[in-house]
Amino acid sequence: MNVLLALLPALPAILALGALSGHLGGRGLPLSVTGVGALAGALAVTGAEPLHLDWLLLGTTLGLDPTSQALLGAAAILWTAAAIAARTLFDGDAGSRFGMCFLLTLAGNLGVIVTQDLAAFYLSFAVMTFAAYGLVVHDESTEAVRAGRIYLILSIAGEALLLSGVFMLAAEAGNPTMATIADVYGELQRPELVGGLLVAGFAVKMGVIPLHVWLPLAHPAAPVPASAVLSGIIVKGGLLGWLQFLPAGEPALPLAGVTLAALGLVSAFGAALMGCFQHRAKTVLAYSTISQMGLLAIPTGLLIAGHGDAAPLIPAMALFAVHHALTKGALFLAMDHVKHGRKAVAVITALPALALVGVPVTSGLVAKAAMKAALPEPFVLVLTLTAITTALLLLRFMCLIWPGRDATPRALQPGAFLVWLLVVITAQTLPWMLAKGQARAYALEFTTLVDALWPPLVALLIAGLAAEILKRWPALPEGDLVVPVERALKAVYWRLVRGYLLLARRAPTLRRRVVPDHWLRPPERIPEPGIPWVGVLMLAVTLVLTLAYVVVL
Amino acid sequence: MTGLYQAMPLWVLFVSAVTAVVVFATGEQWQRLRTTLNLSGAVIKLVLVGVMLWGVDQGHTFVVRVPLLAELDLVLHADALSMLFATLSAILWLVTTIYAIGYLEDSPDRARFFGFFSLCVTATMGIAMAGNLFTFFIFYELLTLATWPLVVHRGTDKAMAAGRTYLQYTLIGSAVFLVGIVALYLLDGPSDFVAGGELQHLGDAHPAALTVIFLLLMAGIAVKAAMVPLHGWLPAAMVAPAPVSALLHAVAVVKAGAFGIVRVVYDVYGVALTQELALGVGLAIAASFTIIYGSLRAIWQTDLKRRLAFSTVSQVSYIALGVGLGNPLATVGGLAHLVHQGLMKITLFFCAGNYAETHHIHSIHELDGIGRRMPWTTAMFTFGAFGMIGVPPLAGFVSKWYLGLGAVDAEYYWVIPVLIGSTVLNAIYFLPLLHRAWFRPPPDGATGQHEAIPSLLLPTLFVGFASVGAGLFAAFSWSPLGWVDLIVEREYLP
Repeated sequence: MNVLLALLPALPAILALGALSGHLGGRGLPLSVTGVGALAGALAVTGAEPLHLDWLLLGTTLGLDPTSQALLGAAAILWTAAAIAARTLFDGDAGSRFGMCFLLTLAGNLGVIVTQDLAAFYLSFAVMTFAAYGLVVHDESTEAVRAGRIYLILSIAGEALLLSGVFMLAAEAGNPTMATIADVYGELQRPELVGGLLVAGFAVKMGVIPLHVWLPLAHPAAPVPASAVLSGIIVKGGLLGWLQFLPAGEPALPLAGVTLAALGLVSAFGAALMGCFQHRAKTVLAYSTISQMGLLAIPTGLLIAGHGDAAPLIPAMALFAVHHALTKGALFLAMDHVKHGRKAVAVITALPALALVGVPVTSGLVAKAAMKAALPEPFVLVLTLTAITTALLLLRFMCLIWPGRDATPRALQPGAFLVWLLVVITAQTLPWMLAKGQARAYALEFTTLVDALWPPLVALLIAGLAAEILKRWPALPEGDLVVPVERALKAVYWRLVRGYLLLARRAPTLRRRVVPDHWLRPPERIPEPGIPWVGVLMLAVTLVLTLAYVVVL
Repeated sequence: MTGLYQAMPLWVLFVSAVTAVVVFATGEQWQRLRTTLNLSGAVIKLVLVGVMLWGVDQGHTFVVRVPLLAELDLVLHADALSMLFATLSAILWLVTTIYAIGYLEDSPDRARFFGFFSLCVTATMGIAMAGNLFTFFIFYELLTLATWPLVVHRGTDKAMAAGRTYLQYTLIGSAVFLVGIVALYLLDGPSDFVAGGELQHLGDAHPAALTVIFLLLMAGIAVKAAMVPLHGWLPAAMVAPAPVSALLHAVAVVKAGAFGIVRVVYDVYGVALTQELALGVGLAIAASFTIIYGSLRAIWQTDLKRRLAFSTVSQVSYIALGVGLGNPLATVGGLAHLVHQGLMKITLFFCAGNYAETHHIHSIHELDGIGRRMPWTTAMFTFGAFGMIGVPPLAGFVSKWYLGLGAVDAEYYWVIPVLIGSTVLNAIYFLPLLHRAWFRPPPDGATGQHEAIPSLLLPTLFVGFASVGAGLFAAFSWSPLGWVDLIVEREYLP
């Protein structure tokens, strides 16, 4: 039975070759993804004994702990729904490429969920990251290419941070598995350094501010089904990385943990507020993901720093992750149906939106209640308060997707619509089924219900006031920080070029004597700052930061 | 019978040498005969090497000793390290021969080409099997001379100029190398390669002399290993036909240099002595510099093969880095990279050859949309590129993993930024190519698949999947990594 675990990542990887050859496309691809999804779903229900494969990579351990088992279920549903929604994208000239990237991302994603040793996890994580690039830039527009580039730059920076941490972990313990990770940290000379590197590396995927800038660019640029899996389940890879390869308080890493919790706090509120000033529905959803992942970064940070009790907290986080994966997936998949201009669709979409806010008796209620029950006191209030900003954000989202007066309703595609409806319904029911009896009871207590109700009402009030006061709704650029950073980098580049040209003109003696002639000859055409420049600059910055970190410790 | 069995290294050399002679003799017109000879030579050699591989694993000894001068013997032997290099070159020779037959179809002077091609492999085998520095040097020179006609094969002005550069660099390097060998002979007398170092018995006598000799030997070898600043010939030599570049970069010349470094450090000086004289750190620093410099230069190359050439400059120094760090883990990384880099780089050059031969693509700007036209070749190119970046499950990841572990273990923390920097730089110069190939529309008028012919595509697929397999099944005991573990065991626990 547990041999099937190895099939989960292997099967889609092999199917990807079929997609590449063009033999698997159109109908075949959703069908085969459904098969993989069914297998994943079955394993998520039954669970599986750990499987150890000595001959694979550097000795691979596969297994399912409660967290990964829950996420495997969410992945099975979401990937299947996304593949069905994407069926037309697998046809045509670029279809086989999309199919290949889709399947490889799936392989990486399932691998991240089922692998439990460092090398194989890193393998799956890297495959997932690089294959997802193909989903982001699929439509080849300038916007998508820019989004892809920024996604890639941040991802590679993340990989680099991860790899440095991985080296130090592995030098101590070979290829550690999840079960032994706490002991390994106990023996490290600089646990804070290693922990910091891994926290930062996975934070890129989770979109923790300030490493979030790729999310609001990549999610809207990707085709709808791809954004659904990106935002729903792929980003959760970062969470699994944190939970599996950092110690949950034993030993405590206060610097790394507190920093993560603080940045999580900033993300939770900041991203939601920034999202309110966006003008595209998918971008708003992307900001919502950053904000919600911030809510997961807070407890993770606390655990790493040695606060909080892992036993109730980790299952609560898993529940929240499953709730968010399915709900956000449903919201993204709605974008395909909303464009048909029907009010009914918008009304149904409101359901997962309300769930994200945590309105009774949606899935968000139980997910947040479980978290509140497990979190230390001050953070319960934080969670309650974020419901206000989340509600504001989703109000903005509903305004953007509500069909206007001049919208002409068109016919829906029944098959895809039904699949979407199913996702919406599972997103509401599954978290209730997963939750422990205790959490369910706590969620339905009177005080919890009140706590879940007043924030959205406050949000409604604020939104109403804001709409009264503001004549025109202000706009923030997508990817906020990335815009000034890009501008600054360009300025630095042009200044360097100008300085170089000046030097080349002014120093004929220098030219002849000290350095070879061709070094100082101005090039015929000054290239626009491209990937190489950005990359080299980034590399320099990363090295300086790493060195600074090493010196500080 | 045992005598014949023990003389296996000689038979292996013999097969390649005879193939060379017969191919020269058959002349230009007997194409089918030549192909048969070439392929059967390669297959026979592969079988012999396979037998020897098994024998070495079982602990059999293979030594042939031919007295030449008064005290100088020509020694051929096969130890675990020899077999690493010999197996790599035997496999890749067969693959490259098939590829070259497809690539050079209908072009002139094929007899000359394949003759020297076989001679070149004879030399590589000799280098792998050499049992002392003197033998090593003889085959090293043979290699230089046998590759020159391959580099200038096209006979254009550019090719001839590249050939001149190649000879200038390598011959001067060889002269320096020879001075080092003679100096060592004067100091220590004749001796064979010994696991753990033949100079061990000298203890701490003559530190200055030993340091100088080490520098001479390294300077001589570093030319072939294309370490900065002695790398100038390699980017120039990419004018050669694709199969030659593939062989030069993956097995023959560059690898012979890297292999020489390994031999000198492990079997002449020994790890202990190298570390004691602080020569290991020096080597590691030189290698690190080369790794970063090569990658930086690669970023701004617009010719595909030139970009790959600078990538080789950078990647081959991983081997020297692993050797220089001088602990078991780093050694595993460095030696495994000897094979891994070979597989990945030959994949990349085969792909570059497929692009050039099928669609006349030489510049990276012409790669737009090629993924749609040649999906399999481009998929293999993608494998190669990700392997160079060091993304798992490709072979490059395994090498990098062990190098990183070795660096932490030896407490040379500065190596980590070098490895990470190289990863990032590799991404910077490979990923834009992949973006072009997969995510840009093909230039107008070009639609539909148009793959390379089977004799080009099949070898490419083989080496591409091999570089995935070497990483994915690294823990398997007959993988390159498994074999390297055996070598390191024998080196560090003699």
